[in-house]
Amino acid sequence: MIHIVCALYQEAHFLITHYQLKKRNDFHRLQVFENTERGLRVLVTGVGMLRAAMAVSIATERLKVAEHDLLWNIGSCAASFEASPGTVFLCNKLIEEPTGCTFYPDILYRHPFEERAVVSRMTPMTGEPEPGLLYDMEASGVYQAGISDYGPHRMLFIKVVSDYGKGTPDATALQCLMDEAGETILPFLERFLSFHAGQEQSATGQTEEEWEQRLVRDLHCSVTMEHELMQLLRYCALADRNVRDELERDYGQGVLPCRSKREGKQYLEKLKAGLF
Amino acid sequence: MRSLKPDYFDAPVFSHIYIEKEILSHPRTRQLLERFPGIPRIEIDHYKDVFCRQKQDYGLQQRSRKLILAGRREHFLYEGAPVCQDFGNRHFYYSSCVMNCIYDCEYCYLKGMYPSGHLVVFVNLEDYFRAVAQKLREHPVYLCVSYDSDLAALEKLLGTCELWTEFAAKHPDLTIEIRTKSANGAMWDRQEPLPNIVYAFTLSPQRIVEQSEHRTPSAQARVSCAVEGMAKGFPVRLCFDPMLYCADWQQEYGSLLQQIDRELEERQMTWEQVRDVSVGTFRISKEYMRILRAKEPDSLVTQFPYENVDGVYQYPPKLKQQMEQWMIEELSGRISKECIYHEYRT
Ligand code: SF4
Repeated sequence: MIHIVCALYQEAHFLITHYQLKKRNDFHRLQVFENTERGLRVLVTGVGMLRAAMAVSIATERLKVAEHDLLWNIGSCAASFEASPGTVFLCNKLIEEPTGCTFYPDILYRHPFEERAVVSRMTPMTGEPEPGLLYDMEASGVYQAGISDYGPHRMLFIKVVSDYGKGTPDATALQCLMDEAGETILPFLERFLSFHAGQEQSATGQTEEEWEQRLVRDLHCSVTMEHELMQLLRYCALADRNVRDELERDYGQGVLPCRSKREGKQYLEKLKAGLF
Repeated sequence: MRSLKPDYFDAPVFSHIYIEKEILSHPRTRQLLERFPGIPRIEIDHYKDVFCRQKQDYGLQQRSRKLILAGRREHFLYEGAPVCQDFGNRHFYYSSCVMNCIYDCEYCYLKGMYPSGHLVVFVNLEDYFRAVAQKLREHPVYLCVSYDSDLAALEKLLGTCELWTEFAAKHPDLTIEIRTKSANGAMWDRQEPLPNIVYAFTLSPQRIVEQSEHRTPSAQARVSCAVEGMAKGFPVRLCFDPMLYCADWQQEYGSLLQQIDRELEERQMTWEQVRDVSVGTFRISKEYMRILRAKEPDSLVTQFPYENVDGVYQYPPKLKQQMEQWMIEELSGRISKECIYHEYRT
C-alpha cells in the first residue's frame, strides 16, 4: 500500500479522480480516500506540520503498516529561486525551521524530477527567504511521524511549485496546477503501484508451520533448542536438503516423538551431526 | 521493496553525494567531487545525520549507493578485535578511513556493524597519519587499513592505498596490511613494492563467490591479480579465511588451490614466493549475526546453524576442525609451515 499525505483536497484531487479513490467514513480528524485494489490510500490532513504528523500517526496506528508500504508526501510549495509554477521537485533534505532539525529521506529510486531541499515552516514563506530552497508546511512533520514505521527509504517527498512567497493561488488555481503536475507524477507513481500489485508475500505455508511446531513439541524443546531447531530447518530449506522425509521415517519407526527433553536434545544433536 | 526490479534503483556508482560542511573546501573533497559532475550534492552537518538514521535498509541502500564525504575527528586507530588474525604481531591495530564496501558479501560483518549501506569516506587522511606516527613513537605498529572496507577495490577512485604506501615508505617500523577481494592489476603499476606493505587477498572458490560474494571479482581474477603482484615483487598474503561451508567444500577448495598452482606455474613461480597464508573458518559475534540474519534471510551462509561458543558463532567444532585441518594439510604440502597462520599457529 502506498500512503500519500496531502495537506489539501485540491492537492489530492488528481489522485482521487485518477484512481477513483473512495472516501472512508470512519476517520474524523482527517479525510481518507483509498482504492485497496490498486494499493493506494490518500490522507488529506489539513495545513501544517503538526496536523500532518498527527494524521500520519493516526493512520499508522489504525491501519497498520505492512513491511513494504510506502509513505509519500505530495503537496504544493513556494520556491525562492526561478522555477516555473507547476515544476515538480523531489526533496532530498528536509529542514524544519522551528527546531533547526534536518532530515534526509533516502532517494533510492530512479525518478524524473529535479532534487532540492525543502524548508518546513509553521507559516507560509514570506519576506526574503534563503535562495535556492523550497518552502512548505508539512514535510518535516510527515517525516518525523513516519520514520519509525517506514524508515528513510520508504518515504518520498514530492513538491510542486505554486508560488514565490508573494501570495498563494486560490483553491481553483491550486487544483488546476496540481492536476497538471499530476501528469508528471502519475507515471512515476504507477511504476510503484504496478510493482505493489505483483508483489508476492512469501509466507511459510500453514501446514509447514504446524509440522514444525509438532516437531518442537515432540523433541521437548527448550527455548534455546527450539531456536536451534528452527535455524536448522531454515538452513535445510534454503539448501534444498529434505529433512522432512527423514524425520517422518523416524516418526514411522517410533523414534519420534522423543520421551524426554534429554532424548530430544540427543536427537537434535544427531540430526545436526548427520547433516554436515 | 526488496524484489523491485533492479532498474528501479538509482544505480550508478553513487547517485548522491553528501558532504559535511566542515570539509567542503578540503582538497581531497574537491578532487573527489570533480570525479562526479552532475550528481546531486547535499550539504550535511555531520556524517552521522545520514549514516546513523534509524530504520535504514542496508540491502536497498547497497543497490543505490550514496557517497558521504566526512572528516574523522577522533578514533583514528582501534586495537584489533580478538576474532581477528593478528599474524603474530603484538601491536595490532586497524583503522577505518572508509566505512562500508562496494562489494556485497552476504556474510560481511559490516552489515551487522553499520546501520547504513552507504559509503563514508573520511578525507582527512593526514590526521590518520599523525595518529599512527604518534603510536610509532611508542612501539612498532601492525596496521590493517582495509578492515571496514575494501580499499584496493576503491583505489581508482580514492587512491588511498597509494597514500598509505607513501607513508609506510617513511616508517619502516610500520607494517600495513591491505586486505582485498579486488583484482585491480593496475594498482601494481602505480606503486613500488615495499616489504612493509602486505597485500592480503581473500580467496574463495568460484561457487562461493557466485553464491555469497556478490559483485566481487571471480576467483580466477583474484588469483591472477595476487600472483601478478607477487611476480612484481609485492609481498602477498593469501587468505583462506573465511572458509565457508558448502556440501562439497573439499572439492571446491581443492579446485581453488589447483587454480593457484596453475597460475604460479604459468609464471614459473612457486608457493615460496607467497609471503604467508592464513586459514580460518567463518566466525562472527552473536550480536552481529543476529542483525546479519535479519538482513540476509535467504543466505545459506548467514542461515547456517552455527554454534555459539562464548558469544562467537562458528561452525560445529567437528566441522570447523575438519575444514581448517584439511586446508592446513593441503597448504603444508605447498608452503613452509612457518608461513601458515591459523588461530592456533601450526
Ligand atoms: S569484500 Fe570484505 S568488506 Fe567488502 S563486502 Fe565483502 S566481506 Fe565485506
